[in-house]
Amino acid sequence: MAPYYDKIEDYLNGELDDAARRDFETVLQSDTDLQTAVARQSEVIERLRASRLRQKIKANMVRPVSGRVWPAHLYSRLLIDFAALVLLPVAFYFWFRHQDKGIPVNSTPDGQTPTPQDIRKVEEKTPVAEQQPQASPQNPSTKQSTPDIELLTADLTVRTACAEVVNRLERVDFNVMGDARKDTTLENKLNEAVFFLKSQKPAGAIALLETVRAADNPLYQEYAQWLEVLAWLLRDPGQGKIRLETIATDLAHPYRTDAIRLQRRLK
Amino acid sequence: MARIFDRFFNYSANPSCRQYPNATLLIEGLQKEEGAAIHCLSVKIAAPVFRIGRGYGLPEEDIEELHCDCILLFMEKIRTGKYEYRGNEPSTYVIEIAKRRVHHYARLNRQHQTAQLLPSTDPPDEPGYGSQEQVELLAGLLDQLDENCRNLIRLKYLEGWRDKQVIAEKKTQYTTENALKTHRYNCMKKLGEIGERWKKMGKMV
Repeated sequence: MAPYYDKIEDYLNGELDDAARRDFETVLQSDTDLQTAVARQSEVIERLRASRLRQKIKANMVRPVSGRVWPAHLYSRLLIDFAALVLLPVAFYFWFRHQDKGIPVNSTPDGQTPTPQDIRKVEEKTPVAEQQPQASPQNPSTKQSTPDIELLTADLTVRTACAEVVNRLERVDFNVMGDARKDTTLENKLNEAVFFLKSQKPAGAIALLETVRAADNPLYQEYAQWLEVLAWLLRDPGQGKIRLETIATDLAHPYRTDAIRLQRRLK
Repeated sequence: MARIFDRFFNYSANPSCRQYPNATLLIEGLQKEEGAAIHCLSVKIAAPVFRIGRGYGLPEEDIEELHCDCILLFMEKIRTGKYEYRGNEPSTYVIEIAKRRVHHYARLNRQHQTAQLLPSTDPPDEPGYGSQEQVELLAGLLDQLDENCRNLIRLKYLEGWRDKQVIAEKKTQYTTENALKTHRYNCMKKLGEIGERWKKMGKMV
């Protein structure tokens, strides 16, 4: 084979380095046989390239499926999207329905969840709660007052400030092992009260905290009192502020600083 | 539905097109002959091209060829630098190619009846070596070669294998790149000669 003929393919595919390419082109200008060979091979390569491209296009082309031109995967994707569009609003609807009842969706494992009767007791004690028309057999459509509806009418500023404090609360660990006053049941109740506060269910929290305070265990009294203030602030800002003042003025109270800070915030 | 997802949720219903969120990336992909880019463009133009073809009463096989030709022409234009991106959607350009080709086809068919009534247009661009007839001719040419030559050419030009890979994976009987190249050159030469002969016989343009 003549010396430059084996380089034709590399030249046409752009695989020669600069020096070799210049060398090849110099020879190409003067050698007519080489020019013919290059032209012929160039055409063959072009044909092969075009053929390969056509095959590639055909392999990646979308063909009509039963008169439509959507690819098959699109149907499954659209089905999933459609199902999501329908199911999400339904899920949200049921979630809000649970929220409306003012009762926690999940009861706690040790069964310390306050009963609806407990919550009703707290509601009855609320002095400023507006009296909603009671449901009656004559007027079954009338909805009973629920804590959340009252929450909506409460002072938004107070609720926001209070919610910030509540969100910072963590699970209580009194770490008083060996102390005769330690009471796991009461600690659980306090933790559940925190859970209720975080879930924006102050009535449930108040019911629990009342039982803790009734136990009269000095170890938990101050903390229960502080949580009760937060619960009342969420439930009824007027009552809550009065209780907050009590803590803020009690020089010996461990939560006095927090109470003063919250008071400043509310002002 | 797919358009609603695209427009309102910025969600591409076509997974291939998620790699090409804008026209520039799609054009780059087509330039590199990426399969996903071809698929993306194909999905975008399939519905209008089939609608146009059916509107002119073309059979489904012809519409498929038209679909393929349009993409091929567009890719050729990108490769040769004839396509200039001006911010328009590339699919619009390809659909225009399809319209021109179908219109020209219809005009040729009706010429004997209403030649003077139809507006005169320039003949549309043809896919050249990529057209279905030329591809079939090339397949015929390759059939004239022996099995070894066909294999050498197929590996390099139709399947895109690199010479190093061919040697490493022992796809042929050759053990060095130089031997492989030399034999392939001879095969290409033979193919060119058969092509020349066919041209002289009028079998090929």
